[in-house]
Amino acid sequence: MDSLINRLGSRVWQKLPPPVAALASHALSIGVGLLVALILHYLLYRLGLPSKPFIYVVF
Amino acid sequence: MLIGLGVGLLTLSIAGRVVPYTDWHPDFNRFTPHLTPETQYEPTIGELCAIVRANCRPDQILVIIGGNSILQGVGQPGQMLWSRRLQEILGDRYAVVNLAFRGSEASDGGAVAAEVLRQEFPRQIYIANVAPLGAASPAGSDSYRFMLFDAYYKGLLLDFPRRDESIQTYIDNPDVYPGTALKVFFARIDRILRYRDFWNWWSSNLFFTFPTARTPDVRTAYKPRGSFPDSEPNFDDIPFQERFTDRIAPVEMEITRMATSVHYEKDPSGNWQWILAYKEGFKGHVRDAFPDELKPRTLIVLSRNSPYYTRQLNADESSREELAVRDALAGWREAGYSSIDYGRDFADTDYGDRTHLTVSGGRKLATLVAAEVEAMSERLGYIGR
Amino acid sequence: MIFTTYWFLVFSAIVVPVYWLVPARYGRLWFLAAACAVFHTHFAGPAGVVPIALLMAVTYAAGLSRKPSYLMTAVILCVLTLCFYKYALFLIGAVITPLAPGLGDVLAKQTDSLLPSAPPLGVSFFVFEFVHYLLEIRRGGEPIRSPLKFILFSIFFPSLVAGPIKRYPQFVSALEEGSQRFSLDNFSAGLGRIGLGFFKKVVLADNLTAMIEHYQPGFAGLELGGRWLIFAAIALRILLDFSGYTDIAIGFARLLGVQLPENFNWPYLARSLQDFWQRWHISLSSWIRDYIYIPLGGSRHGVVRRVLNGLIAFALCGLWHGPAWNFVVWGIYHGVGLGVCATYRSIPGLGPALSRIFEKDPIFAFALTQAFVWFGWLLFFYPVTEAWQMTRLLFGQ
Repeated sequence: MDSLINRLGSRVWQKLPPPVAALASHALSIGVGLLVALILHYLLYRLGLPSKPFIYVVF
Repeated sequence: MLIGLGVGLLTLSIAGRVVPYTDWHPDFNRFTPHLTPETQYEPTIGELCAIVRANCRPDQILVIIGGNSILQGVGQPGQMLWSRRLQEILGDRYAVVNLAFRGSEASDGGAVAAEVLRQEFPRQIYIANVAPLGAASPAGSDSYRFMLFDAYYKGLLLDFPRRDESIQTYIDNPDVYPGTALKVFFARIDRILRYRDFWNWWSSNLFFTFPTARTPDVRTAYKPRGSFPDSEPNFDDIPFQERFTDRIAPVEMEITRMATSVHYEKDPSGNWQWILAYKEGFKGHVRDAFPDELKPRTLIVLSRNSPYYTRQLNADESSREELAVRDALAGWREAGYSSIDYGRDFADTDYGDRTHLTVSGGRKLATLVAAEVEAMSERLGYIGR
Repeated sequence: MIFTTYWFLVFSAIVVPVYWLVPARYGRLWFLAAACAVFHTHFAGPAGVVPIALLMAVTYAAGLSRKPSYLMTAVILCVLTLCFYKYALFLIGAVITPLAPGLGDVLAKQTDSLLPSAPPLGVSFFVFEFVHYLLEIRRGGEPIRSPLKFILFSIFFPSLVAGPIKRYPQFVSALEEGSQRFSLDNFSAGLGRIGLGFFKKVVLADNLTAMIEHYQPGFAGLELGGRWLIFAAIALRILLDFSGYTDIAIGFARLLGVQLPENFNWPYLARSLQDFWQRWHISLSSWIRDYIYIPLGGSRHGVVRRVLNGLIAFALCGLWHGPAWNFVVWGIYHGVGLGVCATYRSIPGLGPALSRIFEKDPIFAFALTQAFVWFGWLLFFYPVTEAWQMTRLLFGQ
């Protein structure tokens, strides 16, 4: 999370009052967690799909 | 982050439980290839139930159509689909929902949905087709068993020991049925996380997430699956001779000839006799195809081959065919099902190929099925005599 | 792809919690070693386990002995193993068959009958790690005495299949430190990294792959804009696919408390080819530098040797990616590029002028570098003639 904050602009982050910065950090962390949840949920779905299409043959 | 992960998974699993109660597929007509494993899309049982809920009022008698491509209406354009004609004939007292899948068995898809909805829609009739002397496995076909597992591991189905044994066979034989144990395991995970329902809903209403064989072009690949029109071609647009050509006909004729040949042998007086082992086998399959409670409301439709081919059978072969149909009808009825056949008095032009019906053939089928559905409704007490 | 299988998800869902629940520190590492063995056996098959098990034993023993002759013998054995499993048929076809077709055919058939259907799992990675280990010992490094830690260095499941190529001192120290105590920060960071990796791989890269597979065969029939789009997709796909996979590997290692080295550092922001190779597949490029380029003499013996050493190093780097000539050509292409980068300043007139332009406006250096790298991918993925044809088509010919 620290490296993510650094990438987002440590200067901006440092200008925030400490309580706000802490809150923003937690919010960002939760946001990342939500994204990871979305990706994991989708991944479970995607892994379950057939890798090849079912070939329907008229017979 | 773990809080976000937990909240996210919880929210998505709740969403997955909600979507089967939405109008998931507005204007649903049937499962086109864009909504089936033909394009790597596996409908969930929640999805099938959502379709039924959106198309059947509580005061209507639910008629679910299962079976394979014949009842799915290959060769019949969407607006001229035989099940739409069936709905017209039966009227508003009934709600006809076509849940057939190309290449599926009578116990796949629609059958599972009907069973799941047995309490929500107690006045229901399930219709599926088989070939004469064909049957269905209680655990469905390999290509569509995912719907059975979906319902089974969500605890939505009746207690049916023969189905349990059949499923266990698939789990216990990974060499023959690879990956079944993992599929079962993740069906249990899906019971909690409901990712199949959610992402299928997303894929069919918002956007699909990867190109497939039918949608390789990026300009269409990501379109929501429900937005693809039913573009089934019309058999009647192809000249008859092109459908029954010299190249195709001999193979199809051979299949027609061999269809019931293994089941029968001549007895000492020269009459066809059902070989005991095959007879017992057939009766066993019929007995095991569906739970006993569901048999009375199940209509098995025997699909005869096109008269273009059956007319070319010699007298001996013809009599065997008729015997097979008669024995099959009797076998299904004795086991507690309703059963009819179709195709004997159909015209050549009622068939698009050896097995599938044209629009006119579909209309004739609808008339036959409607009559039996009405009779079943009376027998089952759905309507007054 | 191993990370995108149900089996792997179930495996890691079991292994990670049990790993942290095992109380005794050495019990924990033994459990991890057993889990790695299960992973390897499942995906490699029992026959695929034999080469790595044998090389592991030989490398470990040679390392403990510290004798230069044993160490070099072990190095040769490792390299020969890699050559046999991965390059034997290629070398027979490339070297022997043109000179003696009959002999080549016979050798090819016999070799083919000895080879398994696929090379041992991760052979390119574990051989490089063993060679690194042996050469570092030979240079005076301390061997790993604990067989447990050596086993973990050899078959650590997150990095076994597709890297990063580990350096043993950093790995052992990371393992010792990270496995002592569960850290929520590490765990969260690992999860985030895994999420990022799967997003890049499954959501982005796999879609680009489908797009490329659909449009590339008809490249000549596309409009100019479409061709450039596919060209960009090819370059983006390899980065997202590979770096995504690495993110997943680093993420899973982090779940176990182990920090693996970074393998990518925004390579498509590189402003020079040297810069690119310090950002792309870092663990491989540093291995090539330390164990091929520098031992050949590096840049210590003048410009000509420097360029030649670079060409050899990168030709081998290319060949490492696969037994085919287009990989070798791609490697040489980059070797030539690096040679030019190293020497262009000494071209009278032009050199200093270019140097001034690049310093004044780095965008030119950036554009030139990326163009070079992106066109290089055509050589990497397609036969030389097809790559050349695609290049011409990109310029409307």
